[in-house]
Amino acid sequence: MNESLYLPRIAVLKDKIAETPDTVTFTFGLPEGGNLNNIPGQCLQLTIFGYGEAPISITSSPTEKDCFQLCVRDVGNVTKALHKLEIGDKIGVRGPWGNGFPIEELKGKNAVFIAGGLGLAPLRSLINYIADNRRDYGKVWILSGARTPKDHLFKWEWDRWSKIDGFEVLTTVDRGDDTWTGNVGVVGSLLYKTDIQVENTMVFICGPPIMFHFVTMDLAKLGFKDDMILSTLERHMKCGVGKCGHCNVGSKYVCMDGPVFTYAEMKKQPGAL
Amino acid sequence: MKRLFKEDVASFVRELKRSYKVAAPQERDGEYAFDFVEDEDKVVLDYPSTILPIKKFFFPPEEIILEYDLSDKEEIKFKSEPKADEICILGAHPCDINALIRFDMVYLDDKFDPFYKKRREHALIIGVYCTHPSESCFCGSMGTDRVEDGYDLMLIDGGDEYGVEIGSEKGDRIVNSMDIFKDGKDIERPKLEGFIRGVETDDLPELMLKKYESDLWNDFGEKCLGCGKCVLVCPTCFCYNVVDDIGLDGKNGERKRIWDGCVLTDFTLVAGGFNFRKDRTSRLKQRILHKFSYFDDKYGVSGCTGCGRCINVCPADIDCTRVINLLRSESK
Ligand SMILES: Cc1cc2nc3c(=O)[nH]c(=O)nc-3n(C[C@H](O)[C@H](O)[C@H](O)COP(=O)(O)OP(=O)(O)OC[C@H]3O[C@@H](n4cnc5c(N)ncnc54)[C@H](O)[C@@H]3O)c2cc1C
Ligand code: SF4
Ligand code: SF4
Ligand code: SF4
Ligand code: FES
Repeated sequence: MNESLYLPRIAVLKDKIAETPDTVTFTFGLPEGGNLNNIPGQCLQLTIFGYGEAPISITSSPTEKDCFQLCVRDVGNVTKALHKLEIGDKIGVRGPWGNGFPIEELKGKNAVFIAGGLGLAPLRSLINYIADNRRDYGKVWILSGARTPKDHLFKWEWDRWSKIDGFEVLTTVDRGDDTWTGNVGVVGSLLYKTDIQVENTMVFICGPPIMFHFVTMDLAKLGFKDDMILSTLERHMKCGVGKCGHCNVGSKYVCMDGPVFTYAEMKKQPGAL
Repeated sequence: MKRLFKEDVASFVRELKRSYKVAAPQERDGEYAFDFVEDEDKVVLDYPSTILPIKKFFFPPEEIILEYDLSDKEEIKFKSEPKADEICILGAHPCDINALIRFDMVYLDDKFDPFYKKRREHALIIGVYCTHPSESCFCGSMGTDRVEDGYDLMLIDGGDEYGVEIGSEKGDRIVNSMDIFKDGKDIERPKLEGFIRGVETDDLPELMLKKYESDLWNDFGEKCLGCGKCVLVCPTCFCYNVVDDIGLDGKNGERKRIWDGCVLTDFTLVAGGFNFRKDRTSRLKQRILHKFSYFDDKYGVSGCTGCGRCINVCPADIDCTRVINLLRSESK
């Protein structure tokens, strides 16, 4: 194809689901129908015309045939403009880009998902992919932590997930409130609240760097090997196509070689952790 | 071997200007710089080194990569169309041709940059072998004082004349269609001698990684002003920032890319104020490691061509050859 890689395609806003006071899940459709053919864990460059571009993970699974979803926190210029859009408004997208999660390698294995805050957004694409291809995958544990009960994302998915055969959902908050009757404590503590199998299990972590730091210590204690622990790296990104240099980490480019890396790979790249 | 007499260079440039916009080294305030040629007599092919590299002809300091028209809400129109003049770069040294080859590795991969590609396809490269290194050059260590490809023609200084090496079909056509090129004896490529600076390149990428935690980095990092001059003048620095601009009526927008550099404070700053390389040392380390280790790991050649420009321009006297040599002696 000879088309410029800087040319976005149009998508139309179809639905908004408020997750937290500052985070919304947006559902988009493509005028030509279909979805983005994304691999779970891939990202895109989102354009709000007149404001700019920002890298965002695709939170929907490609098994969702007629739309794609982005779960976005309002933090600045582009994300604020996105939150102001109304149903029917248009955005631009480039991508999907990145390697995505290893859905082939995971076949026949169990999966543990450990999410901190917004980190559940990228993980959800794989969780729903497994749910829709249930027979190909083993057991699934979803551990999700948030600062307070109102900071939890995708609460509307919890019920559906926990009813799927072989799925277990555990949630926690750093600080509870009157409505919260569940766990209180860091997300890593959930690892000890259930019987997680270490053999034949891959772990997917997404969340703030500090959470990653402590969770990997817990996982090592439980006996997980570095090459069975996967996460995504977040960096400043401008192009998504290996040119602008902003996402460079050691000899890797997060936009081309990532965003998904094993813990073993991260340890090899200076400045990754 | 064909040859070109030095007294014919100006006529040759005049001839080239009929088909190309010709950029060549010319004197500017006692230094040399590549500029489009107005006066053919001002072209200087025997020069030490230019202050800026030739990357600006392929990757301008600022350019529009996307235009959009929002006047019709139903149908947003975009344009991302590269344009390029036929240009000729005359008088590039081997180090700068080697830099272009490195730029190609990044910008012409399977996700090629259409703007860069178009300009590359419309450019004629006529190089000239350098005859005497300047004080800050160390291409002799980097192996970039030689070129085997990446040019259409290469001129070899032979006193009153240049011997002409042909590097492409395009080059062959030029040489054989202009009477200005005469038959002559073979002239040997010059052997560069008298380097003041140098580095040992054996296992350099590995050595740099091994010395990642060395305290020595702080000595240099603390001096760095983060001015970005080293990145600006580097022929292989390709990083850019992107900004969107919209007209006052809100109907027309454009997306521009602008040269950027990893030594600048905000390069890795993300929303919420988190900066992955927040201190000067980690930023300087990125620049030097990217050149001498990461690039090599990814592409199999060093990202530095030893042109010496960053050494020349640095207001804090930071010299990458000194950094490397100190790190090496530390590990011995
Ligand atoms: C791989 C990846 C996946 C992401 N997925 C999501 C997601 O699913 N949901 C979500 O809400 N956020 C996600 N982010 C973060 C999101 O990209 C930033 O919040 C967003 O770029 C902020 O842009 P802004 O214009 O609103 O903010 P501003 O602060 O106004 O932006 C300032 C500039 O910094 C850049 N920038 C700021 N923060 C980041 C960042 N974290 N990464 C890259 N560039 C940044 C912006 O492009 C912009 O040019 C992701 C980031 C990365 C790298
Ligand atoms: S030119 Fe020197 S002072 Fe300026 S950013 Fe580069 S190394 Fe630092
Ligand atoms: S790092 Fe310095 S010496 Fe090496 S190519 Fe760049 S400017 Fe030239
Ligand atoms: S040295 Fe820095 S600015 Fe230059 S290409 Fe490498 S990362 Fe980009
Ligand atoms: S985002 Fe530009 S190189 Fe990765």
